Amino acid sequence: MVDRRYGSGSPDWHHAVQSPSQAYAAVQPRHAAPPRPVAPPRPVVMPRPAAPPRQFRTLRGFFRRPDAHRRNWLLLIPIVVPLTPFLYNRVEPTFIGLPFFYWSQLGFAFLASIVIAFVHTRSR
Amino acid sequence: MGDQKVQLIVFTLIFGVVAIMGFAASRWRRPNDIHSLEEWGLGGRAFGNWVTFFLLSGDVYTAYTFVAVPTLVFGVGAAGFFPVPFLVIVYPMLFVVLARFWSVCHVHGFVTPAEFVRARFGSKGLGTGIAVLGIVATMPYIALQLIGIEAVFEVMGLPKGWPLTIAFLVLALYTFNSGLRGPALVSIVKDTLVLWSVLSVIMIVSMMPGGWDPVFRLAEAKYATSPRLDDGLLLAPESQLNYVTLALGSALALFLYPHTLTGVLASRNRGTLRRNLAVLPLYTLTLGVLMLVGFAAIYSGTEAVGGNANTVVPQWFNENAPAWTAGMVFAAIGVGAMVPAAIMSIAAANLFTRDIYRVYIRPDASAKEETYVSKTVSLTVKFGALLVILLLNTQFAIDLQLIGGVVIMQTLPAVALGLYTNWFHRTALACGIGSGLLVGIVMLYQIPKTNGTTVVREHFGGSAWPLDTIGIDSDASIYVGVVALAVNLIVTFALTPVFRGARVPEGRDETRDHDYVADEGDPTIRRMTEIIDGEKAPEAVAVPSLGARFTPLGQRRPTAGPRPRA
Repeated sequence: MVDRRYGSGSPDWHHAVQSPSQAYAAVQPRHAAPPRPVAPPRPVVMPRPAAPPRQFRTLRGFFRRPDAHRRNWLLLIPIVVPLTPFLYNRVEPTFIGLPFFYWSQLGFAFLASIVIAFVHTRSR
Repeated sequence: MGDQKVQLIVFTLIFGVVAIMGFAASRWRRPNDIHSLEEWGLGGRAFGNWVTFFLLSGDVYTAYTFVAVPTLVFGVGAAGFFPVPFLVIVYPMLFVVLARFWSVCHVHGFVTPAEFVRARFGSKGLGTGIAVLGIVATMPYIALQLIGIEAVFEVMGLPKGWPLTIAFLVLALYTFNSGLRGPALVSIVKDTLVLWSVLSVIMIVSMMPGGWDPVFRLAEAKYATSPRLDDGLLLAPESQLNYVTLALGSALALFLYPHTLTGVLASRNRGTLRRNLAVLPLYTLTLGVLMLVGFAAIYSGTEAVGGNANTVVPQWFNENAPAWTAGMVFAAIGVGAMVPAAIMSIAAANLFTRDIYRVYIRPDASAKEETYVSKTVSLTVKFGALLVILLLNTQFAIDLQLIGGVVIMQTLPAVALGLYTNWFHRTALACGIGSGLLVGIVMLYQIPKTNGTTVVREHFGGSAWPLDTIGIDSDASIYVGVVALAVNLIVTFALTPVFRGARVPEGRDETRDHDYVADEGDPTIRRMTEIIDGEKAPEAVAVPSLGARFTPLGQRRPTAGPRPRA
């Protein structure tokens, strides 16, 4: 059933409806500025065919990515630490008979895993 | 029953199971139509957490790694341990880069890195160049996998020719039949076997009197008495530079190898990929334990069989493990060779099909034709590798792979940096790749092969370039790939403003910023629902706010006729 309580949609009152802007235009305060002179009509310019949008190529986009975040710099830790042999190039302390050189580098795997997991869970 | 017989029976049984699984894989999550490159070559791009883990681990930790690296440790000690830091640092690097790669490839339907480069820098030639470099670098890598199987066969007392041919025939046929689903399913078996191998190493060494302690003491004594200068339980001061650059360079190269990217693209969404990259560093521990077998072999006095140095690891298991465990370890190496070889051949075939065949030979090839070409090429590639190993020298494959690593690294500015910026000029990128290749190959040519003390061969003797070649007064050496990449980057960065200033025409970037962060639920990625549910996704109009960002898939070039209004 069509709801007819509000009529069929065509207004049947007698006065023409004023849009708000027309309604307020009639009662301008006295201290209002005098109406501006109407600008002469501009010469008609034929619209030019739009040039293809130019692609700007800068390196700036690298730092303004939507997926960029300070947190991601944490990932540098497991990248840099395994690349510094002077930190771990020693025998002592040994762990179950393994020299430090070997077990520390295996331990970096846990480091990397933890850091990546941290960054991943935080960035979801 | 003799030990060798038991080993052979266990090996054959596992191999048979793997062959059956490989063929059955084509029925696994069977799509309506397997005759498309996305289905055959990427497993429908729908692998979840577990399958992606097995696929990537099977892809990265190859049989050659399991065989050759402990051999290196056996020979030189600490300097051979570089794969462990390399396979640790690679994952944080991949973590930031691969999610973007996944997204852009899904939005545009790319299957290979070369397609991405072609769209990003608007250059057909550059895309083809990347594809050719990828194929050149991958093919010797496939041949190397055969060396792993070969070592196992040698320890089991099998001849060189026909067993290798049968193993590869099985591999070739199931790859032809099942595509990427084959290695994905088989790698589950491989990882189980590898896990058992690692546990058996730990158990065997723990049961030795004193555990690891005497193993390392004896190794130290051996390195101290050997005439070589570059060996030892710790890194010599002059070999630290090579250690670091080799780890860094190998990590960069691993990301760029097409087979790694193929494995990555098969995952279902960004979260799957990132979760896996958080877990995969732990898989490096298995490789680390197997590398310690190199020291255990010194302790046990293991000798290589038949002059083939790569047989040290299988031979150690042969002597120290029960026969059935040794058989399982041999199967782990054998299956561990088949999985990456299959993925590599698929990756090389996809490169050929999408970036050479469809660009130059048949631009309007149908999906079915594409798949057929890809299947045929993957067969050709594998038999090419087999012929190289059987007819030519094994050393030839190793040399080629050495060059291949340097070659694939040169694609870094276009592929990896290209994911972040399109600032580079396409001509500058091409010049950078050319100069990097030139420098890399000249440097590799200059390296003599030494036997520790004496020069065995004049040229192509390794990847460690001695700094005193150009008169720097130092005993240190550096990995060639890193130097070549540095030259490549310098040339690319320097020439880009030059070409831009000279108004050399630029390529048009067909990707948008949003493409690089799109995920599975994003309306720009229609393809996923089509593949998983087999029904067309709703049109992008349904989401008006993102409708403006909608990028059609497939043909991206403007077609003839009027453009549809937005």
